[in-house]
Amino acid sequence: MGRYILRFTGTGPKPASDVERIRATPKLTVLDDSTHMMLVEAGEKHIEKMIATMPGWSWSPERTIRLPDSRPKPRRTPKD
Amino acid sequence: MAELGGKQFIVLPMQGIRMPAVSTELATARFLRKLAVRPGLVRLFRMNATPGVELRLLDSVNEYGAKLVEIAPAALSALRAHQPSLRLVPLAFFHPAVAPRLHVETKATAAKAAVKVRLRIVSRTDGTPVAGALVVAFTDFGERIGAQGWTDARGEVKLALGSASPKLQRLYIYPEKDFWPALKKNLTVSSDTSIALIRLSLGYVDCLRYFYRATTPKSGKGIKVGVVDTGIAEHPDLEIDGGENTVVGEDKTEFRDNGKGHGTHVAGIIAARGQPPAGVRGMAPAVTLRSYRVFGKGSDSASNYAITKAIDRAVEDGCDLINLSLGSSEVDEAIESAIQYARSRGSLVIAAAGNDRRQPVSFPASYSLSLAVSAMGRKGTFPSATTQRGEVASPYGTDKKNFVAAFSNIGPEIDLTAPGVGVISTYPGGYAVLDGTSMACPAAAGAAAAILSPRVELLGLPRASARSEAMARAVLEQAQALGFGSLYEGQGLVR
Repeated sequence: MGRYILRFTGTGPKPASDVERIRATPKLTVLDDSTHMMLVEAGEKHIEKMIATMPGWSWSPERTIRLPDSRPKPRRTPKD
Repeated sequence: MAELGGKQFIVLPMQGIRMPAVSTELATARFLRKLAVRPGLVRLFRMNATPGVELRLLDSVNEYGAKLVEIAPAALSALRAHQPSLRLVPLAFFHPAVAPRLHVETKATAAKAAVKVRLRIVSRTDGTPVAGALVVAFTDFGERIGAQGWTDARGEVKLALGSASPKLQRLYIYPEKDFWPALKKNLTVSSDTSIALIRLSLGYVDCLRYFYRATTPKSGKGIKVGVVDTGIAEHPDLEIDGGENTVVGEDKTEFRDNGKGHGTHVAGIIAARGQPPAGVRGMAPAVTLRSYRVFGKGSDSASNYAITKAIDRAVEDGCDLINLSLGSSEVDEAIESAIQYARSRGSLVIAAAGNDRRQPVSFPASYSLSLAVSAMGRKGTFPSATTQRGEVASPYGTDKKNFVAAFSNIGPEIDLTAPGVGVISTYPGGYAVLDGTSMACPAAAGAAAAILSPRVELLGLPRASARSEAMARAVLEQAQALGFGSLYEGQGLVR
């Protein structure tokens, strides 16, 4: 199980019928919802198979980006 | 046939792989059509509108569709300025996923690093302790061997440097706020060592104020700017119109600073309304400022979902400019899709190139539909013993006091450069000096807001691709090359 972004890239907001279908999918939990997207928890193969049958939708895994920092950092501590 | 020494890119319209029939009068469509030739035919082009730019067409899918071209990296910036709505995707080859070989990393044992040195950090003005400062000490800077820690309420930090009186090649001190950071080189320290920091003066002419002296309280009026970041703190110099927290599981109305201060500093560079010496003024104080918090409470990481949702929200809220002072080495489809959506709805995304010290431009700055900003600085716009002197590096500009920051990423995707070394701005509970392409990005966004503010003919266009393209073009046309070269500065500094 992982967390995935389902994004509707077609014209307008997400089709209600698609949203209903996603919500009704077994072993899938909707974590968040917005105009064009849904954040879900499910198996990757399951997501891939489902989205392949839904025109206008794309999916990608949830990832994180770290806050930028330009300060130099030590890689290791010195020897005695 | 002449050699271009270039790299291969796939040239695509803003969305999809082919311009829709209704869009064939757009400049992008005309450009794609100009490149339409018989499949397999290789032809060298020179574009009259952008003298000196050459590309070689290698293949064309169809009249208004994808083209494969070869173009020199130095010419890529000019092509992007000429056609700001094109997507330029580097040609990629996929390889079998071979498992990496194992390697050994050197590790210091706990015993070796057990000896600690106590350093004390104080104010040069009155000797009072400076709490919460990050102290980074290097015994070997090239190998990045050293230790770091934060000062306590007494201004003291204990560092495991392997000796009671180690010789340091470099000692960096980063106060949280209200002081200039310090850099000391080649000094021997002991537990009696005390380092004094210079207190910030808000009237100081830093690199931002050096290049943008003409900013007025009305600069940026009529422009709405969305800051996608760590949130923006309440501050006497900042007026926030609204926003949203898009972090999953958090209250969406909590779009104030998450405790990290980064977004508050970014916001001040764009829109601070203070007046020195009591406060600071940003690039475009009259903009309507909105905060989209994508970093969780106290967290220094943001999910691609939160970022994507924040961009969508900023577009739906009518933001003309969206500032992304964040980045990653990994390309993300969801964020790309949101940036495409922003451009298709007339909004312009401006992104930081990244701080990985001359590495390739980070994503999403590397994405063709965002404007990528590198960081530059100027000698004489920071006190001599500060960390900023460690960021002075070649190339220098036509004016030899100007330089591209040592930490800045560079590459053919760079569109603009802006001040990002030793920038004074708002911070939760005061003011702080920070460095980074994170600071250069809002400097460029603020400059863009000031340029676009009087351009009512552009702002009045329907919120569609033609609007964002015209805005991008207007901003890029106002850039002036400083002599660094296009890989470092793109079209230059927006003036």
